[in-house]
Amino acid sequence: MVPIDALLAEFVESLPATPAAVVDHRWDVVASNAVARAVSPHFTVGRNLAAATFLAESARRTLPEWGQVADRMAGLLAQPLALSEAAVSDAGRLREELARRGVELAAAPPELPATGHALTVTMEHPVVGRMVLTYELLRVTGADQTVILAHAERGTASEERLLRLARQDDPLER
Amino acid sequence: MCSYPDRMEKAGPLAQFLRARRAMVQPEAVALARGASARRVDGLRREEVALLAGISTDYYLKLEQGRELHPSSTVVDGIGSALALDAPLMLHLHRLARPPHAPAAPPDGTVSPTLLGLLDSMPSIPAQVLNRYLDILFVNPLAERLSPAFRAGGNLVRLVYRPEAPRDAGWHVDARRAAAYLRASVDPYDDGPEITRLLADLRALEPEFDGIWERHESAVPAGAPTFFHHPEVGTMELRYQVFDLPATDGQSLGMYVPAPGSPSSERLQLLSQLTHAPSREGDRGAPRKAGGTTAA
Repeated sequence: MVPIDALLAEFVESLPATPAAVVDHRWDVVASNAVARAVSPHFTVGRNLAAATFLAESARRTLPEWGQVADRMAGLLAQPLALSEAAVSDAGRLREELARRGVELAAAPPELPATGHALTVTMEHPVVGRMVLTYELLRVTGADQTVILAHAERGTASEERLLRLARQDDPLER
Repeated sequence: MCSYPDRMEKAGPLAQFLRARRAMVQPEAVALARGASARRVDGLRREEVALLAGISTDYYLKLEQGRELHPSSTVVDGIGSALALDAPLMLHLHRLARPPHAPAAPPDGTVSPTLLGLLDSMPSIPAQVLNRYLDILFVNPLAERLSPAFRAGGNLVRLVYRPEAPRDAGWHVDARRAAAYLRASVDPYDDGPEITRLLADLRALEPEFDGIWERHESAVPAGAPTFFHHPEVGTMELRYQVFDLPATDGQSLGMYVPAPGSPSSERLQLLSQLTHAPSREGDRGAPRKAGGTTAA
């Protein structure tokens, strides 16, 4: 894993009610906060979000529109946000590895929609129920890392459920 | 009008960068002795850079004259270490050595609605959205309260160089940092009307700007401490967190973040409460323009 800037890790962890995670160019989670892990254990440091999207049974179970999420991940693997040589070749390797594990990735991924890289995802959360969250992808300048920040639309049931998750103690921390 | 000679201007951004930085290297920084004569001044000779970079002097000369524009990544690494460049400048040199992108369309200034939704959900962090010229496109209410200088339509570099800002030691640090931020943000091959106008404005605002700009420093001030002297809550030290927004025309999101648990964090929390409290009559929660609020 690529080391993460200490201030960036501190920033991500300090966000109280905003699910936040940092992934490297292989989509390995290198930092995340408690509320992100409460939304999904796949945001735990060390997990791979690409593998989780395509291979985890829980992803298909909790995401009613799983196909859309998978399409977007396939697009991001085909056209990485980071354009460094390492990022492009590692994305290629990750595609090959996923193919070996039985994931069929379309040769030509769908075009990026006009809304850019934001993705609104409906999920059936095992604890708080259905939430609609919008994930925004931000690039860390000068590093092959991406920050993922999520929010629920103001005044919705999703916002209230996300706040409930944020108030809970992080089950992964003692 | 540019104040430096046309010859430099025509040589292209890579050649300009190499000449400027070669003149600034302390020989000791690259393990060259100044020699017993002690007549040596700062700066390397072309043949010394070539030797340290492991390339021929002739090839290096071509780079400085702009006759060779796209050296390989390995050559760039060699030259970068010969010139004792730090990581952000190394990144910048690689950018200069790549063929320029097709000229980008002028930025349209539209901020993604989902990003605005995200910022709306994080009201306790001062945030702003910038374009690649560091024009401020959007400021959230807490950033507006933090400093009267943070207003959509302003420019982050112009803010630093505004005539009212006292030219103290702190200003000189900010001035170099702002110029380096602009270099890092803007495409080095961009010579369109937006950047031309901005540079002309900055030269008009501050005679020292040209000298600072010609140092060819380039760095995004990620994590840089920034001090805010606020009339309502006192002085806060906040750190600048900045992210590029993919699939935009070079926009970025900047946030001013306190160290968790610090006095600055408490003060910012108080300011956030003042900003978002239901406004009372006669106190609309508008920032006070008078007073000593300054953006550092």
